Amino acid sequence: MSPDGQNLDNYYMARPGAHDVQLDLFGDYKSNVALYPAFQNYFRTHQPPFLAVWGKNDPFFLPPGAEAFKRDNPKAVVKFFDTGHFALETHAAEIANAIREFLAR
Amino acid sequence: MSQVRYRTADVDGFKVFYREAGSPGAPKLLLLHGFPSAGHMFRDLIPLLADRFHIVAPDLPGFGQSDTPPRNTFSYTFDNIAGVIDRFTEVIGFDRYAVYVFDYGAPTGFRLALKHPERITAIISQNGNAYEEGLSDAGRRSRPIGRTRRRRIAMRYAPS
Repeated sequence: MSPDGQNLDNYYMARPGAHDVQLDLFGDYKSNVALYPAFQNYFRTHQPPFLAVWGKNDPFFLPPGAEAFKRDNPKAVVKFFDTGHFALETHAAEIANAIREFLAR
Repeated sequence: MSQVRYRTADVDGFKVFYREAGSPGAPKLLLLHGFPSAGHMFRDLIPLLADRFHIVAPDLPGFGQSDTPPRNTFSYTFDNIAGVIDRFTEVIGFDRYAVYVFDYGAPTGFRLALKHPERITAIISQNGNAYEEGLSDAGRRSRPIGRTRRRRIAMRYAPS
């Protein structure tokens, strides 16, 4: 796997002040969870064309979270890939193909 | 036009750095990155889609090469990040677009969809969560910890 993405991530996050910014965002993450019902209502009401491409070994965001999109948006397409959270680091070609196929419909 | 352009937009005085590729007349695709990254996480994906889409990948406020104002002048909340990115789409003329969301890009992009459902042509969620059952205990616990540990956990689950 290419080290470039992780090394550049680490460079940006090591800059002065970066940790304070990130701690503020960690602290605000609950605002996202509080909006989940509103997001789900949007999916239900508007039924946007929806493709989930999901690294199935992500330790943070689990596959049931991908499957759940189909509950509110039955036409959602859900594809799993044998990778982790940073799925583009290993599966950019496969994900690009899934996007092309999905948006060509 | 698969060559990537590197630009900055002036969003009401806030500098947003972004990558852009593809023809301006092609269907628009907005790529929203996650923690702890920036638009460079799309460096392999962009050339693979640039023949079909007009692609824009901004660095979120506080990330990468976009402005990172001091905390006493900018409040780092997801509402404010989404507010800047919403105005960014208007400044660059993204009136209707598909949006690819990853990690922090999801609560950002879904806020844009809530505010302007008529502008969203499609959503691609790559590990961009919106359901309680998608949150792991590790995910809940890891939010207050540092990038190194989070990255270490993530890499443990990635294929070698």
